[in-house]
Amino acid sequence: MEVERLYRHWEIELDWAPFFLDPSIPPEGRPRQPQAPGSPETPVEARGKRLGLDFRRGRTFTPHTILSLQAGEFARNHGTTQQVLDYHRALFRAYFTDFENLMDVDVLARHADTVGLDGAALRQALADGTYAGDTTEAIEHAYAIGVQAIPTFIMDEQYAVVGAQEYETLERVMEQLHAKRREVPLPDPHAPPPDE
Amino acid sequence: MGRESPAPGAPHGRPGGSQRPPVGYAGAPSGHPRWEMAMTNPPADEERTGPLRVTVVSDFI
Repeated sequence: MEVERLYRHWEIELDWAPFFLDPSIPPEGRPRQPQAPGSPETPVEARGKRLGLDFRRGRTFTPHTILSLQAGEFARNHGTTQQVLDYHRALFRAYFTDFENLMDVDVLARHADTVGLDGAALRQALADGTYAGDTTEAIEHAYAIGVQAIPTFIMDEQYAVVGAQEYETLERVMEQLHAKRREVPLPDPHAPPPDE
Repeated sequence: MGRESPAPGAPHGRPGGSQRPPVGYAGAPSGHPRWEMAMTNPPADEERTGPLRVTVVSDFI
């Protein structure tokens, strides 16, 4: 995915924040009509394919994602950046390709183990609600600052890039941010010391 | 993957307005410690050192 590419090519500090895409989904999840098999490929499907993520058709259920978002917070707190990237990709694939239920703690723990996180510790954290407060707070915060679509990339705490943009778009923002930093003049080594 | 929330009218949604979140955070409410500094006291360019920070806001569906 674009963010993985960004992480490989730029020296960045990567972080994640949870978001409820559809707050109307009830806690038990919601049945959904599967997409008609013969209908044309959607832009999202085409994009996913280019990024190595198969948006397979036939899903009949949309989960409530609070547990998976808490699992993401667990990964963020316990894993390396690469592990968090891997975990996110694993959960995307679990949902979009393999039709796994992201409300199932077994699914969340198994994928945690797969990427080198501690699945048992994740189970315990979910049972204890260790990250429930932080997750809810972060979701509320995302709404409060106006995030309405995902992914939203907050770039250097200055710009919001919204949606599945092409990688080149993210790269352009990175270049602009770097250029902005370079515009700041270096201190004059011959200047008198500032007044105390 | 570029999916938009049905936020308008939804319990947590921001009704109406642009689909594009605000650029920058001046005046935004504070709340989450991860972004609090950026929102309430964005560092000046000359204070920005080290790697650029990228935060990905996302759901899994």
